[in-house]
Amino acid sequence: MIELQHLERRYGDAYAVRDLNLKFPEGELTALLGPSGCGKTTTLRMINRLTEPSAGRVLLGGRDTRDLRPEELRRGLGYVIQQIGLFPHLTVAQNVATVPELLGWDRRRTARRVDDLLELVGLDPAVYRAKKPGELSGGQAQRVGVARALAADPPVLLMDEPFGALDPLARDRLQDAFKDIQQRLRKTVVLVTHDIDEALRLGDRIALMHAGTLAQFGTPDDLIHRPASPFVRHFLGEDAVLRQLAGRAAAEFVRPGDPAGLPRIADTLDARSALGVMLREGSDALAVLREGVPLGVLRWDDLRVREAQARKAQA
Amino acid sequence: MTSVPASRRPSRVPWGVIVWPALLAFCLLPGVLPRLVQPLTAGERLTFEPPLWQLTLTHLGLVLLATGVVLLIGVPLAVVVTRPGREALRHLTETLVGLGQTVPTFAVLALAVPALGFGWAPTLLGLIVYGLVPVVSNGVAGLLSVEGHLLDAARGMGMSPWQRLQRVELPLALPVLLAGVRTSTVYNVGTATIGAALGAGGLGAPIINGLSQQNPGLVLVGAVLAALLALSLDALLGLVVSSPLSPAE
Ligand SMILES: Nc1ncnc2c1ncn2[C@@H]1O[C@H](COP(=O)(O)OP(=O)(O)OP(=O)(O)O)[C@@H](O)[C@H]1O
Ligand SMILES: [Mg+2]
Repeated sequence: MIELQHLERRYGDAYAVRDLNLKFPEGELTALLGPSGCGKTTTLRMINRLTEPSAGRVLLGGRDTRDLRPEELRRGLGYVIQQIGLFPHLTVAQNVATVPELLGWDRRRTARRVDDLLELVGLDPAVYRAKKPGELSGGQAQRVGVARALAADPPVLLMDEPFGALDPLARDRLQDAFKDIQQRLRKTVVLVTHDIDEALRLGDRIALMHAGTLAQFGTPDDLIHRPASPFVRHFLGEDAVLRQLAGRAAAEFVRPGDPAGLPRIADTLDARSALGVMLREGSDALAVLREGVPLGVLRWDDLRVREAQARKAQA
Repeated sequence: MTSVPASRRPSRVPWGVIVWPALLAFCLLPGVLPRLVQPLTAGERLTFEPPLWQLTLTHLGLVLLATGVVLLIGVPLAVVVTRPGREALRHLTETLVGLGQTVPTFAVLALAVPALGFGWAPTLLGLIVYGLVPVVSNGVAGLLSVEGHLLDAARGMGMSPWQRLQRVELPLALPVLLAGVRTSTVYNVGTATIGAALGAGGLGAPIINGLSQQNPGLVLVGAVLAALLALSLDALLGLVVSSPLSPAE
């Protein structure tokens, strides 16, 4: 879908991005991860040409993006930024309608689309349509930001630390909401973040950058279990597995079994917390309950050896 | 946040919009002002030719014409110098416009007369030079105050430079710009009285005649009417500034 070939951006003598080769798989969310200043934003902005590359090229569906007018290119790529950038003089509905209006959609179609999108991002259209951005909380405003980026149904969504400015609670909720939305829409998403948890939680793939170059590209499991360099291992940290578990529900690991006598947890608990319960209770299995009804059993081995087993199976 | 119901909003009735124009109209009724200033004119009843309402209209016409030209020049100027990469031009413009304000009005007018002759032309020139100052500086300030991330978002969504200006920058700069227009117009009501010295007519005429005839009543007539005209315009333009046109904070 999106392919970067020998992409490069220089500022004076310094490289912000250097010889970057990367293919963002269609319909998947790729987290562009890396420490501050490693060139994530620059890379993202070269995709929609807010920053022009010094060398190399960006292919979108096989076409060189330089062959398109920048405005046309950008109307086909949803764009969400950390500062959200809602226009304060326009209502929520008018903000969401920005790109459809630029594309010349008729009024009724636009109005219908705006309502659909507000519902998609979890905001009641009747309540929020006519509000001004100044009346929204940070989380609500970013939901509108996402709705606005999706307005013209672009196949690609470019997001630069979209949840970065939110408090932890709002961030968690919005990440969950966005995961749901992405599961339904299957956009090709490039999500810039320096937050490892966020990358592990939302990314189908992770592209880890280091000083303007690509350190590793792969699934979260690839990066955690097969780091390509000491930098990758060091950046993810020794607790990367725990972080990954934190992003998954305990229910994902449940297998049938006899829950009698086991400590109980709710199926909504995340897997890292479930592990914490095991340690606290000194038990290597837990009964998982959905609304009080036993669902099955979560075993220590299932959390522990999943990846090791996979490797053995391959050998 | 819950929105405040309309009835609970502090109702700011703009009394000035009614009071000042009404007072102005009252003073323009035949015979009202002459009778009021009679004690200052040694019992003599003043008569005016042309009548006071005509002088007021001339005055208003001068001021509004100047404001119109100021808008035509000032707004595009503010836009041009605030485009990225034009910082040098912007500083130059701000300096020149500021200079316009420091040169005494009388000097501008005196210098304009040899070139333009007497009458409306030099007066208008003076009013335009003075009126440009607040419009350009507020226009520039308003446009520069638009936050970078808003422009980034606008660009990222595929707005052309013209669309960004029209849909984002100008609406957001509007309240500050309109405040500048208000200042410009109201100040020019006062400045325009000097136009009478150049034969442009207007409310400066009774003032100048009063000075030369040592008649304080005449001076007062011109001054009162000019002040009421300024207050009326100020109130009316204030209405525009706080209208729903301007964005909520
Ligand atoms: N307009 C610019 N002029 C000069 N240098 C720049 C410019 N933009 C970015 N850089 C430099 O390029 C490098 C990469 O910047 P970039 O913004 O892409 O980093 P980032 O990975 O997004 O960092 P962060 O996580 O802090 O947002 C940095 O060293 C930065 O200083
Ligand atoms: Mg960045």
